[in-house]
Amino acid sequence: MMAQASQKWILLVVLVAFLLFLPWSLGNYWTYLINLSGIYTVAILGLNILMGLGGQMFFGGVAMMALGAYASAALTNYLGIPFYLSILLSGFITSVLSLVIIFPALRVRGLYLAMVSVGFHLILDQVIGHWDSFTGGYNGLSLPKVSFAGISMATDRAFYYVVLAGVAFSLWSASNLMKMRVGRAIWALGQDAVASSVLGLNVTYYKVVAFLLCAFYCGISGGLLAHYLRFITPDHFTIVMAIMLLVGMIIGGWGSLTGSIAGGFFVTFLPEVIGFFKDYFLGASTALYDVQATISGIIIILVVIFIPHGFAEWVKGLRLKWRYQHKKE
Amino acid sequence: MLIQLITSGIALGSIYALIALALVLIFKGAQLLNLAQGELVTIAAYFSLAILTQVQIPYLLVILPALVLAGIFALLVERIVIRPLIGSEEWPILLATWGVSITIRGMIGLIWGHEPRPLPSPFTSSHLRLGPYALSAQEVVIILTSLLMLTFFYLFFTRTKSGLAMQVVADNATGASLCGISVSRINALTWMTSGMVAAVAGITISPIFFLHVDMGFELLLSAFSAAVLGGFGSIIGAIVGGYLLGIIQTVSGGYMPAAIKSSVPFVILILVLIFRPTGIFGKAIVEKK
Amino acid sequence: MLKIHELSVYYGHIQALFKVNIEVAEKSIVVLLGANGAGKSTVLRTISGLLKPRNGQIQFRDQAIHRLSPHQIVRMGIAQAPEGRELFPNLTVRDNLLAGQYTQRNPVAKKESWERVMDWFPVLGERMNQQAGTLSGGEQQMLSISRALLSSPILLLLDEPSLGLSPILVSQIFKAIVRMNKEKGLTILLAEQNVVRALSITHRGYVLELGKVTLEGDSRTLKENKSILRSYLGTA
Repeated sequence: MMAQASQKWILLVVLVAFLLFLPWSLGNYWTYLINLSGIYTVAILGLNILMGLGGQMFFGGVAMMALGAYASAALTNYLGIPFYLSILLSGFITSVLSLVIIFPALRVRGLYLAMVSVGFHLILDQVIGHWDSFTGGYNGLSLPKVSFAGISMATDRAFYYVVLAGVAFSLWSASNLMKMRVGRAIWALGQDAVASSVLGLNVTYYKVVAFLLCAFYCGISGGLLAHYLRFITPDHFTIVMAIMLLVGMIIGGWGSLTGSIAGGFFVTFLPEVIGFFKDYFLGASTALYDVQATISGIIIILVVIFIPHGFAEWVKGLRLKWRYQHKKE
Repeated sequence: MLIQLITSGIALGSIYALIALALVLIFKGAQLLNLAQGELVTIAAYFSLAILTQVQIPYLLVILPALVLAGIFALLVERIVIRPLIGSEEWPILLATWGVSITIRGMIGLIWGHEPRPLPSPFTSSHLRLGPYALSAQEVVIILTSLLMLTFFYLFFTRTKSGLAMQVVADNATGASLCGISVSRINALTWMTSGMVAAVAGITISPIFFLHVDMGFELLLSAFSAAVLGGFGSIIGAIVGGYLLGIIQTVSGGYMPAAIKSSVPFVILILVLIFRPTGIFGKAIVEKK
Repeated sequence: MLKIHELSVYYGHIQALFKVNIEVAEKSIVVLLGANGAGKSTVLRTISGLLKPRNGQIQFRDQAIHRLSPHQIVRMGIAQAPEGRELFPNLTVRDNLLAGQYTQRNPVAKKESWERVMDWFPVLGERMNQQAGTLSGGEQQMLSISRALLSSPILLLLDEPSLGLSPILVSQIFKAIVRMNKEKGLTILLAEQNVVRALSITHRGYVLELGKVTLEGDSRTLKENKSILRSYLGTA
């Protein structure tokens, strides 16, 4: 036992060292990609809690990211709040703002929820686009360079640590939350809301919690994105992005928190790969967005049809695994 | 002014009624929500654009080839994506139709680009005089063709053997198969019908509301809201809801800024789901907890 | 006419039928007896194609039908009034009946079968425009049987036609079954819990217990075997 424990410690130290020194061994562009992966990891984490575990067919993750991004931008631009605070605050603000959609969402289920969430996204897109004075409309909103204790954090390398901190915080907080009663309750929610309520679970309460948590993490993700790119427009939060996040969540493992990392990488690197081949085959004038949309759509169709034993069965299997891992000690 | 608004409202409502009908048909027949419905409308409209720019035929005649193309396209979607998934739960099918929607959206962007284009129609510039009022001829065309389409559909649905088969499959698929009806064939027919109904909507609305790549989702949301307003699952509800939503949206839109006008369907959807989830004609559809 | 050979059917992992052998001769009435859950409905559903067997086969007039889909089996001439009736509750009685005629193309046969159904179950004629879901239990049962008859089948499958009906209605239906067989030479396979009535109108019977055929023979012999029947089925 002693040997195992110390083995674990060594691995952990190596991992931490690796993570800390990573940006120094990579070029700026790769660091940029890794940063984006980390940012999307946090959003997918939120989706994993709400959709993966909680079983709510909610396609509004990207909309929540947008809320977080613009909230964080507003805090920094109009109130001068430093980035690290504004990103954290934007998580909470997104949760609060999302209550607008959460209350109707509580009353519906399945395909109605799916439609309502799509509608939410579309309307938010309109609101952001037309509220020029506050959001900069379709022309976008800029943010100032971030700095911490006088040191400029505006480079890819420097922001990497911000992202790292964000991802670490999110993973740590989420996994701890999921280990508590909250986690098991949300899992039960995803299993069968009716059965759970019969067993005494306050379904409504935990649904709200799941939604708020998703909003929180998506909001933080949005805030990180805003401060990293230092320029956001509604085009950063498209409906195609929403399906990409979903595919990423599925790839990483439905409901798996650490799988969110794989999802984040998938969401970032797939467009890169697509972009590379697009330029080669279709010419640089073809819009990346359209190619991305086509390929993402095809991917999700193939995934759904060709997962062995059926998609629903696969999800059930993953959920059982989660349950086993989180058994009450 | 009000008369014009109401006419425009009825025209918009006709479009919503058709697409909502298409949605509810598939829902009743195959128990699934076709998230790609909006894209089926869009692709039909773009097909028509392609035809009209290549061949010099009168605008109204393009409906015929477009109907055929739309029907075939919808059938292809059903065979390739939906068929392998029969018997699956709600989730996978929902995701699959969403995947279809995004794929079509991407392909349209690749083929036709992002510039909004109008569908050329001789009616957009002319007006019909009704007493002191001038009504847009295109809107009148929309209203009339939609009514025609709805009538055809009604006759088909209630008077033909296939129409009866569609009703039967929608009511009880097991019972239908015991009557010797091939449920699989009827589902394909339902999709085809749905695609054709949607096509008419797309062709008639595009001269006014310009074809653009993203119109699918907006139309889907509006049609869904209309169906929910009328009572989701009810065919009559879909049609009534469609006209009602169109009128509400246009008339209220006349008195508020344009940006808010497009949010009306969503607001109505939320209001209906909160206050009267069964809509006007429907049965209970919403979770009680 | 119908030969079921070593049929094994599963519901998921649970086996419901174990190598069942049943034969139905042309123009005869055969009954499947057994308690709830014995497998009677499973046999009928498998014949109609609603279930697929894992092993064994079903032959209808020397053609293997166990891999066909339900609508194909109807077209071959096998119709069923199933457990649960499977009617179309939101459609009118007329539409329910018309649905039954879906496979029938011959206008003469259509007219004939329609008139016959109206003759045997006149109450349906009175309720033509009513929604099927609003009919009473007995009327729904009659509708279910009529719908099956309207496809002019060669083999009729009836799953517990007497279930939940008053004794008068039961008599009516059993009389109708006998008429169908005598007048039209319709071959009938029925599943019943009402042992005595069933055996009095049928030619042959099979007793099913927990998915296996435990007793078979012609009805007269079975009827006289009352003591054995009592121990198997608890009724006499």
